[in-house]
This record gives sequence, C-alpha cells and structure tokens, in this order.
Amino acid sequence: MKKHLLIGFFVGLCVFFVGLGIMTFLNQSHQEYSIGGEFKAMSPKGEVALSDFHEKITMIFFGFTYCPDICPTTLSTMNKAIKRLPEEKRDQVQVLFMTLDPKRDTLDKLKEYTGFFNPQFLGLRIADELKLNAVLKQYAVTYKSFVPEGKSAEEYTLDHSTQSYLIGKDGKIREVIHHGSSPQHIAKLLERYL
Amino acid sequence: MKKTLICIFILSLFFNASFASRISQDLEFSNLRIRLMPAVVLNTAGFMEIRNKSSKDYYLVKIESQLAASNELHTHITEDGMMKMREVSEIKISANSTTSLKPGSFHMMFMKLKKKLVENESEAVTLVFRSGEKITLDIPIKKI
Repeated sequence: MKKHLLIGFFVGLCVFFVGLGIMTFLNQSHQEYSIGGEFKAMSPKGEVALSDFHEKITMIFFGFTYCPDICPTTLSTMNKAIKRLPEEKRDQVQVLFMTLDPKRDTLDKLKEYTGFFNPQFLGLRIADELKLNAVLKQYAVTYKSFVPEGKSAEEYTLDHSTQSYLIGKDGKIREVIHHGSSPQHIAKLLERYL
Repeated sequence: MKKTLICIFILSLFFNASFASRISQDLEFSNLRIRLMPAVVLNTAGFMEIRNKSSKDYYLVKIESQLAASNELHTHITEDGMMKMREVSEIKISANSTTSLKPGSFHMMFMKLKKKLVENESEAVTLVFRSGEKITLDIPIKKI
C-alpha cells in the first residue's frame, strides 16, 4: 500500500514537472501576431521605413505631444527600461513615437518632444490622413478626437489606445506592451529579443 | 459700521485659519509632484497621495495656481479599447484611507501653461474642498 502511494506520488511529481516545463517553453516561445508590418513615415531625420531599423529591436508607440499623461508616462517608462539594460545593449533598441495628431505635431515639435525623454527616440509623422489611418489599422491602433465642454474646437484632445509594440529584427510584432507595464517588465522583454 | 466690517474681516480670517488648520490636521499630503514636460508642450499633470486621517470624507472640487490659465481635476476612463481623459467635478478623499492622484488615474491638470517648467522648482497650488476649506501646497516639478 505504502509502495503504491509512493509510486503514485512520484508519477504525480513527474507529471507536474513535465507540465511546468511545457508551460515555461510555451511562455518563452515567440508569439505570432497577425498585425503590424512595414510602413513609411517622415521623421526629423527624413523619411524612414520600419525596415530601416532591422538591425535593432524596435518599440513603437502611437500618441500625441499634447497628451499630458499617458504618452509621457509610456515614453518615460521605455527610457527607464532601456536604462536597465547593459550599456552595450542600449543602442540596439530603437523607440519610435508615431503621432496621431500630425495637424499639431510638426517634425520640429516631435524632435524636441522625443528628445526630452531620450535623444535616441525618434518621432514619426504621416501627414496624409488616409495613409496614417492605413498604418493605424495595420497596427490595431484606435483614436478619436474629443473637444471637452467649454473648450474651443482647436483645444481638442485625443482618446486613444495605449498599447506599445515590441518589434523583432524581422519586422514582426513580438510583444504587445500594455500601458502601466513596469520598466523592469519591459527590460525583461527586451532582453529576451536582444 | 466700520467696526462691524473690521469685526467680520477678522472673524473671516479666523475661520479661514481654523479651516486650514483642520485640513492640515486631517489630511496628510505626500509624494507631491508636477510632471516636467518638454518646453513645446503647454500642459502638464500633477500628482500626490492624500491620506485622510479623520472619520470625515473630504471632496476636492477645484485647484488654483499661477502655473496655468486652466487648472482642472481629471481622471482616465478606459472605454472601447481607448484611454479617455475627462474632467471630473470632484475627487472624493474617503475617511480613514489614502487617495492617490497618479498617472493613468485621478490627477491635477494644468493647461495653457503660463510659465516655463523648471525641474526641482516648486509651484504653489491651492486645493479647494467642497466645504470651502482650502490649503496651499508647494509642489515640486519633477521628471517623472
């Protein structure tokens, strides 16, 4: 009886560890996303395409410079995450900030804005609304203009989705980074792909 | 008449002082900060933690400052997969608990900045409560 119990316990333990191994493997294996892909946009450095950054891991976020909370928090967190990486790996990460508000966000403004968080961060602008919306659709980004009560039409703000994407060297989205992720969590994700 | 007015003035000063002292006894403010933003951005947000040590609820209804032309209380709501920033008429500071004004949640909004933000400098911000009680805090400008 005792022997059977011991064997049962041993088999249970084996099943548990095999299960744990499978789960760990699944967690580490690269996830595939059907969204994302190549695009072209203007930057303060001239026209760029996503594929120009194929030697780097890219993090992209879509926001606007008038955004007083979500966007600066995201960019600041990304900067803190990069600072957690070993110094020699930091320049292997490229952060892209694409404006949802090309009407107000000029390239000069984007340059100063992204440079405030990290001089390596690059602002992107697609002036043509149709082209911008096509890229946003590609990346499952949603936004809507909103004029608060008592404010003029020029004082609009934008409601927008808040996820960022980690894009691998193959140009494919590897991770969706949710707003509120800690610098530690983002740094860990980056380490996984560097 | 003159004497009555002087009396009223002195009494009002007294009441204001007692209000302020009651707030400073009941509420404890910590982790105060105004977000340093790039100079091209003409608005910013402010955050703090308010610990209400009393058994009475407080309601923050307004903020006043010389920092911006428009000083508002805001929150974020998530709807249709989007974050929406909206003005709120008040923020409840519940009795015997701590209320956080923090990124992604309730916060102070300073719009149409009248001054350049300088890191580590402080800005006087007056918090106005539903009861009419007020308290002015010096809030440092920090890179968050």
